[in-house]
Amino acid sequence: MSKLSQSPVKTVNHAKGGPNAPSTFLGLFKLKLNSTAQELGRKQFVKLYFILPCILFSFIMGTFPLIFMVYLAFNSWQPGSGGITWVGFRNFENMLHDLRFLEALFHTVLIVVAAVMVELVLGTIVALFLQMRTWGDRWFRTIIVLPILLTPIALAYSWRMMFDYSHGPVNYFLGLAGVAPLQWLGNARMGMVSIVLVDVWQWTPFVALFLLAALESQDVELYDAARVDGANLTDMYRLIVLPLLGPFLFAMAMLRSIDTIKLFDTIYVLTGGGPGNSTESITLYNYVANFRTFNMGYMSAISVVLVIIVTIIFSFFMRGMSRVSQIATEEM
Amino acid sequence: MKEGKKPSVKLVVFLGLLLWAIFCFFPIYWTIITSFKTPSEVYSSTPLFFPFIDFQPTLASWMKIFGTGSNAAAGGNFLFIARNSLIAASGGAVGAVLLGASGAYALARFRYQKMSNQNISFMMISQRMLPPIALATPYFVLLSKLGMVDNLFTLMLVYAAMNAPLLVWMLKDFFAGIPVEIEESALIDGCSPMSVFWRIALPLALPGIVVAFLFAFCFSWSEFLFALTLTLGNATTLPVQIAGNVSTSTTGTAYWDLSAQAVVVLFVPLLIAILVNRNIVSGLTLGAVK
Repeated sequence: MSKLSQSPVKTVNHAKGGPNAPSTFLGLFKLKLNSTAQELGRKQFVKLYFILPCILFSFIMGTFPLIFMVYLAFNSWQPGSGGITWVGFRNFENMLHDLRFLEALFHTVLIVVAAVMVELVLGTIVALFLQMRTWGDRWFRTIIVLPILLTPIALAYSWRMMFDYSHGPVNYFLGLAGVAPLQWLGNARMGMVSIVLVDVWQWTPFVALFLLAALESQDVELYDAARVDGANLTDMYRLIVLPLLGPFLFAMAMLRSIDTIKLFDTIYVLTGGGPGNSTESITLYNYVANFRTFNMGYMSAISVVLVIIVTIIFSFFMRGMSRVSQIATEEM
Repeated sequence: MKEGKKPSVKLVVFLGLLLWAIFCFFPIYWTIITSFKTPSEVYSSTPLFFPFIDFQPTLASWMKIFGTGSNAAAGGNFLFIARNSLIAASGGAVGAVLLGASGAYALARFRYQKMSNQNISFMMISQRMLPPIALATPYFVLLSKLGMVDNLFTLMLVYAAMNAPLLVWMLKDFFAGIPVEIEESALIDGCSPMSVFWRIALPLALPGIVVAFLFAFCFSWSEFLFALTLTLGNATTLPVQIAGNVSTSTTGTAYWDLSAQAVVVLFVPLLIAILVNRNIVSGLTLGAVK
């Protein structure tokens, strides 16, 4: 305190680069507000006021329910039919013998791998297209963005209409191209294809815009230098653009994987997990068994597995992101 | 890239983007025109694509929603559910903005020792990554114990909690970008830190706050899983209503009626998407890339 009171003049410490420093993922301590001792004494107290609601709220609504879920995972409990009994790891052992669970897990893995791969490839193409200016850029960006923000339930319903066997436009267009109508939602394989297709439709623009932002943050001189050195267009993409995009693609792959694992709304409306449970994802199985059979202990165990999987991918994502923000700060 | 200036390349790029844009917009367009069709037009042998050319649009489905005409009873229910959605989403968004703005301001302006700023931010972002289905079970159990299921206020709390971490990330950069000198001179003039936040920082950050509010509103409006598991009938929201109508129909889905409802649901985020267009990427990737 006495140290600070020696300098009554207020000082602002710019930790890194000043107030207009590039906004980076981990670039936290941008500004530090130092004040005179008296005000600092008050602020020590006041600064808790600002952060406490947030922390308390996220503890009550996030951490605490999570702990409760982990507790339930080691118990057997069906509300209405007796109390909670401790069963140790039995819920987790049961999972290994639960064919429906294993199938659901397999479906989720299939959907995630297929959707994320297609989204990255198409997203890269759309991003490269958007980067080359053409007429009506702004309009394209506005329209392309729509599926990202619009209500997934309503969009899934739109697609359900589109996929209608005898009256839907999709089969009509296929007919024009001479392809026999397909049972888009009527069988297991096509059901999975439909789910992936809708997810790709919805999220490719997001990948594209993310990669576009990455492309636009890159140095134009690099391209010019390459051209002076006699590189043609293919070489430039193969040797410069794609390697530069690498870290961004990785981060996006992780983020999209997490989001696709969580996919629920689209499947719920599109196929409802059917026919049978041939397109049931792990989230859908979790929901069905939870809120229709009320086998809370077992389902909490499945949730725990889900959270562990997401956490692992998330740690990769964070690593990828810190690499991305490193690149961003180096360039600015 | 400069090569794009060749007219032929430019045309290819244009056509490619046009194709994707049509692909993006067509399902939305199809839903909109279906809401203006009669049942026989929906079930016609070849799909009808153009209003006024292929078919004469009718307002029958829309009248049902807004409670005039023969099916006013069904419409009344829809308006009640729409009102629920509106209340839950705006309440949740206001809560999320209050929590998010104060948290973001704190992280942008102060340095915390015991739990470092970095740890706090990490705690926030990791919350956002949690699968909602994992939270749905404990929420349901705990909230039933408290007697808070099927209650709009509960939904608001859940939506505020769901969106607050995202808003902290969005607004942190925004507050950091505001010159700190204004706040400092207010402190010298004897303003308390709390009123500096309310009277100076918050108004200065208003553009960011508005975007943040719209995002939170949009996500709350579209939220499905919590609304599905935590409501029964009193607090049902629009997505639950639509999903229910799709899956429970046994005689085939009444596409025309349901499309009108879907258009109402889509209209709100459609407006918001146009308004926040430029901020979407930085918003959804937590400011990693601008």
